[in-house]
Amino acid sequence: MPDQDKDLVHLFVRDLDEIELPPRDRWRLAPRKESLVMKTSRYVLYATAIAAVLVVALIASFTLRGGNQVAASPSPTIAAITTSPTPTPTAATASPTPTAGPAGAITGALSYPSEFIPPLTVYAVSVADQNVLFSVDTPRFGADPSVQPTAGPAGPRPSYTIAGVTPGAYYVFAFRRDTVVGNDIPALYSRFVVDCMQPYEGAQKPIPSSCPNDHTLVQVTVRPGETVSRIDVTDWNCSLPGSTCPPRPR
Amino acid sequence: MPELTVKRWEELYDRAFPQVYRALVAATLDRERALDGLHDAFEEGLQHPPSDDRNLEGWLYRVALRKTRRGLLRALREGFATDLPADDPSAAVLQRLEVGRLLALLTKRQRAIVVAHYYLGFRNRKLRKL
Repeated sequence: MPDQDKDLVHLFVRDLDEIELPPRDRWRLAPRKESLVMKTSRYVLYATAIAAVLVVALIASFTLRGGNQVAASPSPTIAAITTSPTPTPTAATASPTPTAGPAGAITGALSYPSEFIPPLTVYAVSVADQNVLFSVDTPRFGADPSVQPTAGPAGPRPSYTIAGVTPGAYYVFAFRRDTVVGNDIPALYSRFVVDCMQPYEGAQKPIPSSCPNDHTLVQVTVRPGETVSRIDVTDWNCSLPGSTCPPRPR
Repeated sequence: MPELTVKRWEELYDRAFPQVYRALVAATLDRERALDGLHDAFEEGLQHPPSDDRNLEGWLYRVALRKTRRGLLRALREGFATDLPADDPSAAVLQRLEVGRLLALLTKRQRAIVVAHYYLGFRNRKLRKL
């Protein structure tokens, strides 16, 4: 560094070091001063948030207590059917009304008469009150529609689980979620599933023609805290003559 | 400074404060803006600390100056910024000092560079960042 430069450095250091420093307590950032408007806004925001939480809690409380329509939307699962003992769906003439208590769940297999299974909404509709229903959306399973099918859906058997179901008796069926012609025909958990399809699962031989063509819905009883399994929604034949399909829930 | 703790950052900041503050006052001719800029730089250091602490004064000066300029631009838009605030005692001090009178002849950017070079010891490479 040339001497002139050094002289200037000395000059700067000598002079600028005379600049008075602020008090030590001002070196650090003081807490931001909050104006009256900001303070008021903050309180209003807190009050609004608390009120919103209370309103949501009240609505939830009334909804649950009143037994009104509750839509459960648990994540769809792609899982093999559990082999745990299956509570037998009862066909009692008196239909238990959904009651309070630990929620149960309904799980079962899905199928579709093709190489894929379209996206579905599986419903559990209360036998006693059709306004009480639970549902779950399932994704598309199986072959890509743009690809020529070569085999059935790979991997674990597609299934669904409706969780958070209030104990009671339900009919279980599914509608396609995609907008295609014919999506108003549902798949059912029906007498045909129980009597003709499930007994022949895994068997190499087809369902005997003597099997009754009964496509009426079967009641599923959900008990507190229990998961009712093997409620397979696999009967797509309710549109056959002599059968009736349930309407799509609104 | 991957392991920089808040406590360590506060120590470094306190050590660097006197020199950087004086440099900022000389560059901005405004003590309050210099202090605001340093406060902002301190906060920025807490959130995004410099990669190393070898020249913390330089880092603080650069960041604080940038913050100060934003403050000046904001004040100019609001229409009440002056180069030498009449009520700022630092203006009087600088006018009294030989260096202060020289600095007053320069533009803001020239002042920032001259102060960085002669007071903080910046060399060409770092001066280009100002």
